[in-house]
Amino acid sequence: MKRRLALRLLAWVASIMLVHAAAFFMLRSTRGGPFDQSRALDPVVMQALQQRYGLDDPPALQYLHAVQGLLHGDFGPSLRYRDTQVSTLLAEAFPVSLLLGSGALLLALLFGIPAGLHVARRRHQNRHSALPLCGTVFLSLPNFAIAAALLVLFSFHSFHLPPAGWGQLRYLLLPWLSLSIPLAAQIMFLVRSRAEEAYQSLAVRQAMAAGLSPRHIRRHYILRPSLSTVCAFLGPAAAAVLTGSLVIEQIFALPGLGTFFVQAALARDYTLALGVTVVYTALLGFCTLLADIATSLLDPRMEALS
Amino acid sequence: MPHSPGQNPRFRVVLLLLLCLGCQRQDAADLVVANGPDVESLDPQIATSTAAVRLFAAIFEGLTRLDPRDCSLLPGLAASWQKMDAEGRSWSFRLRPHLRWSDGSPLSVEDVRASWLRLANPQTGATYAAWMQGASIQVHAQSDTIDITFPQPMPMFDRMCAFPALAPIPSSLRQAPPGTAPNPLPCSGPYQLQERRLRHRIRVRKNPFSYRHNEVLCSTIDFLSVEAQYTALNLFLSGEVQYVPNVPDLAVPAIRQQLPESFTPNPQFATYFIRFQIKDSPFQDRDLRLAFSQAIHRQELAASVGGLRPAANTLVPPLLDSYPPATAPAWDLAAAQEALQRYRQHHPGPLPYLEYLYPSSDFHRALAEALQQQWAKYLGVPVAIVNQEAKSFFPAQRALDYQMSHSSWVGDYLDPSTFLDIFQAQSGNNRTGFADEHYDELLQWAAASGDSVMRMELLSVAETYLLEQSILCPLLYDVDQSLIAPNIQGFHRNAQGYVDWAQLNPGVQAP
Repeated sequence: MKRRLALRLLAWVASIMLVHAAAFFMLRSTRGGPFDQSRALDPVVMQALQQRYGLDDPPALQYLHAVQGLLHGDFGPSLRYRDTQVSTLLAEAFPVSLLLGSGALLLALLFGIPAGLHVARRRHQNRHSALPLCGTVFLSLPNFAIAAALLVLFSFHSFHLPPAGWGQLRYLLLPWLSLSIPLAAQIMFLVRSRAEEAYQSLAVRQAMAAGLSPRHIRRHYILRPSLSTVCAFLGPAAAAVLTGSLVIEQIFALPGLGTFFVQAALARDYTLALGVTVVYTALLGFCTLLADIATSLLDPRMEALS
Repeated sequence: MPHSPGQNPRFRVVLLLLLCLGCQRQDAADLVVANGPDVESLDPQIATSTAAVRLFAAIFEGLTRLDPRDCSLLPGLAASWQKMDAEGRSWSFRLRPHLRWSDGSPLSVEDVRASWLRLANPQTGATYAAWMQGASIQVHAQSDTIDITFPQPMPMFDRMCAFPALAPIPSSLRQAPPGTAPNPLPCSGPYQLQERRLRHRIRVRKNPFSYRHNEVLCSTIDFLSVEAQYTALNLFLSGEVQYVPNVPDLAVPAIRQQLPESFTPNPQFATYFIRFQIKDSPFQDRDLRLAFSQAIHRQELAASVGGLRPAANTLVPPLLDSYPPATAPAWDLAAAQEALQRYRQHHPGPLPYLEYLYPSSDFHRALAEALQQQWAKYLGVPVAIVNQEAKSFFPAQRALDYQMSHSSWVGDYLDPSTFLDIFQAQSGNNRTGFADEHYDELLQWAAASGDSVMRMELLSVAETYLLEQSILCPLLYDVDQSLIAPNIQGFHRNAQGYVDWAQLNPGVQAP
């Protein structure tokens, strides 16, 4: 187990370095630079800026500096927000995305798992159940459509929740709902398919024949394997949700990480784009590792198989 | 004995949650503005976006400032100023007495000198560094006077001084290394910086050391970072913000109908036009440029995709009474086809592949598609439209890697030269390959004329020449599509979208 964990950690670090290198060279190979704008800079000023930020160095040397920064956890100043360090931008944005993502994830789990189990339990009466239909609708609707519907309902029609902004819990209700609804539908379908499989398994039939209580069967023979499936899904899903959502953050004007992904690349803010990519890669690897550990704890066969 | 609900822990949790959800904004500012994308820096010499300029109008004051009613010039930090020669090469400004930064420290002519020198220094990386190039500055501390002399005529320098890039900045900001911003930031405007939450909001509060502190009517103003225009509109409609600088085009008809008291579109000193790349074929040929210009039905364009933006016949928007208007070749189908025939006679064979480049955005795409349709309909010439995101578009334009491209220009100050200077041979904003001695001379004569009527006439001649050469084709003038809550008093719409934050009265008197 320890050896496996060490290997996974090593792979994690290697993947961060690889993604960092790929992002660095892809960004530099794109046309335009951070200081290109509609109002042209004087060539002398442009040269001074390139020099100041080391952009006139050969790409290999620039890459070495970037790796050096990465190892020290210092990405340097942002090239768009020139009076701010990338680490400051990330430190201010990450808690917002973390709160937004973790709340949405929690809501999705709270609704998705019971709904999935419920649908699986009533699998023979599904024809008349509204849940799978609702799930399909929510899953196929894009985020912005859900957000717009929620805004009309809860901001302008009733409850008068703030349509955007950040600062108090009430500002997060609509973003949480918008993010969690499709996620809950996804979790519901995952749990349903795994639980239906479990209901038809030999183990469950034997447990029923042995006279175990339905509650005991649901808890130990149905819920447990369903959760292991959810865990495997949660790794990448958590990383995606925790690093923010571009659309939701834009619609609700939330100062999270999500908008950085596109904006930093579009603004050719090399340092910020690299910082965000590294954070996302690190988080994705970390969450996947945690999910794998949780899955193997819930279902020991997973470890045996791997 | 049963527990009372208040003793039940679950009930307490629910109660706490409800309290959190229900509580109202405790820290609401007197005025909240959806300021658009986040201000990229608190340094007025670095940040030049419209969002930044709006904020700087509150916290930094120039030696002169604008009157929000008509954009005429008022004394700012300078009590008086004068042009020392007819051409405007030398200027002298006398500061108001006892000026102070918001931390109470004195604001002196030395601050002005150091700020202007920093602006000129290439290491600062300022967009407007060229404005100060070669200037020699002398200060007279005893008389609070600063004299500046330029190697070339600068007849509009007093107007330029109202622009935030020329406002004096405090020494802590002048000396801040890259990637840092001084905290607290001493300010010179009617407001001072209270709090900056990156990409969320910038809060300013009344500056007690401002010479205008008696005029200020809001205690605090929040400048929210709101990237999406529809989000800003939602915030306005829900009453969370009182000023939105831009309403999305699609929402304009409904807003006009439902909120007429908040929405009064106003012409702006900005123009949308087409640049032709004239260094290479095919648009090296004036006939082809003329054909494409005269085949554009601007009224039709304005009606179909312009929203409230009116059709433009000139590069310089017709907002200056003293400026005799020039006119671009008008829509004339026969003349356009004749010009195309002439081009074909000189260049036998099929027309080359033609392309129109535009930066990615919904409005630019709609405009490009409408132009493509008009050229196909009126000239029978197919034109491909190609979009690039802004950071690729501008280098392509600068490298002359295009045939025709979308362009726009916003005047920095209310004067034709801010538009016409960009087509000088040496200008970095030219981007057409146009280098014409006659045109440059006209501008130089205008700058050196020393007589304002003569100057305006010469500038008009220069614009007429530029339009006759069909280096560019004006399309639409821009309009101010801002929304202001009806309870806010003291708001004036003007050609530069300038807001004097000190005069805005939300109905509560600042203490």
